Parts: sequence; C-alpha cells; structure tokens
Amino acid sequence: MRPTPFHLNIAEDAYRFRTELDRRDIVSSYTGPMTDDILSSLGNSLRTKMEFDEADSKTSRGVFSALVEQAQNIMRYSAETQAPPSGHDVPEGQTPEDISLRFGMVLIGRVDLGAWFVSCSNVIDNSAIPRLRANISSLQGLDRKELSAMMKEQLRDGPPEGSKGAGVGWITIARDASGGFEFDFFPILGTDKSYFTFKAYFK
Amino acid sequence: MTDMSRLIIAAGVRTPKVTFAFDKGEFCLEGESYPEDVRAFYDAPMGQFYDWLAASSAPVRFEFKLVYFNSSTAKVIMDLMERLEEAASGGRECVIDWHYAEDDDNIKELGEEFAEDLTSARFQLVEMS
Repeated sequence: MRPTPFHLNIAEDAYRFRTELDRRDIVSSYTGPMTDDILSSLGNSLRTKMEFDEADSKTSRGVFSALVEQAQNIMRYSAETQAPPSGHDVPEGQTPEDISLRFGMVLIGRVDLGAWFVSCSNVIDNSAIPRLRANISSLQGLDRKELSAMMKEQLRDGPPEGSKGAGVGWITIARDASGGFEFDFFPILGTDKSYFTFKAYFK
Repeated sequence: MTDMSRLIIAAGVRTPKVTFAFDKGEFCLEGESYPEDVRAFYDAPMGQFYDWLAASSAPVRFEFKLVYFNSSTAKVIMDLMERLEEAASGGRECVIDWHYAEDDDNIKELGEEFAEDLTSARFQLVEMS
C-alpha cells in the first residue's frame, strides 16, 4: 500500500484535496479521458445545479454551451491521447486514431456566488500554438454583433483547414461569455508540448 | 416492411428527434443537438432529405424545435437553410418554422440570424408557451 503524503489518513487527504477545489470556487470538475457521455453527464448535472441555484436561463445556457464546445475541443484536439491496443476492435470506417481516448480537464465554478466560469485544459503540440493563439486573439474585444457576423461568415464558407468541427466553436463561446474570456499556454518542460487553458466567464 | 415515406429517429441524449414525412413534405428536428460527430448522425437523414428535395417538387415545411444545438450542428442547419432557399428561389413553396421557448432569447436570436439570408423561403418564428 502506498503511503499518503505527509502520513495523512486517506480521508483527511481527500478532504484537503476537496477543500483546495472549494478554495478555487470549483463546483464541478473532471480530469481524464473526455467522451461524449462524460460531457452529457457533466452538462446535465450542471444544468440541474444551476436550476436549483436559480441561475438565470441565459447564464445557464451560456455555461452549458461553453462546456459543450470546450469539451468537444478536447475530444478533437488534445495531444494527450491513448490509442487502443493492437487487435482491439475498430468500428468499420474508422481508424484506431478515431477511437483513441483524448485527455483533458474541465473545471466549472462560481466566484463568490457571482459569475460562473468554465475552464478547460489540455495538452497541445507547441506547433499548434501560433494558429490557436491567433484564432482566439482575433475574437478578443469584438462585440456580440461582430462575433455573430463572423460566425455566419464562417458557417457559410465552411471550416478552416485542419478543423474537425464547424470552426466556429471559439466564436460561439466568445459570444456567450458575458463576463469575457482568457486563455494561456504553459510549456511542459523537456517536451515539445504545452498545457493550454481557456476560461470563459458568465455574469 | 419498411415505410419509405417516413423517417423517424428517436431522440438520443445528444441528438434530436427526427421526423421526416416525405409523403406530406413535412420535416421536423426536435430537442437537443450536440453530437461530437455531427456527420455520423446527420449524413444519413439529410442525405435522404436532399435526395427527396431533388426528386420532388412538392411544397416543403421544415420545422425546427431545437432547444439547444452546438456549433457543429449550426453548420448542418446553415447548409440546410441554403438548400431550402435554393429550392424556394426556383419557385417551390418552402416554409421554415423556427420554434423557440417563450423565455429563450438565444434560440430566437439564432433563428433570426439564419433568416437574414432567406429571401425566397418563408421563415416564421413560432413562440412555444
């Protein structure tokens, strides 16, 4: 049996971990392989929680939407992946790459019973940073109207090269995030990868 | 025996109920739509719809009763609107009913945005109580 840190008993250790999440205003959190089912479960329990909190429906919809778009980004683009073992069944028309697990972290919280936030993180290749940074930066400072126009333009013209979705996920979040959004990258030492975090706020 | 005049797909956790009545020219998407892989869900029913649209000249009524959809689904809807507009501009009767809940400004607004590009197809906002 592995000793817990500082010789805490396991309940105390768990309690301290949970208290740390509380201190960071986390209401709901997940780290591990991101799947559609995880997303739906997180999303539906969050909806119920927000309903019980009597959050207004606009905030509730925005938070849910940000969770969906960001979690699906993890499913599509996380560079932390696990392929099925060789010999594992792969559905017809799909490759092992298609069914690989993609890992990430989702933190949903509420600052001092005020603004909600959705923060999603995943590992990305350093080579992907410039384009991602340019994409998201281009949305900063735009108002809702400008973002809506941009979204329609992109829906009409089709997704940009390399995009696995409609290419409008970030625009959707930026439009809904009434309290703004921020993002950053943290280089993972000794690798050609970085940790990427995007956090959207809802007033 | 399969009834070729109807296509009905029950709602899933992340996918809407699909009711396509080809014999009546009535089509409906209802519920939530946020599958990770939209093509896996939509390619088949939309393919059938577009085939029908090309083969028939009957009037079309397309109802959207969506309460939430993700950005990938927005692309599917945009393509669909374009096809309906194209059919309507050729003189075909195309009605699009966009339903929204009374308190749901977001879905209403999204509908209005799709409607901006429609000149021939008839777009109607329908408030659900």
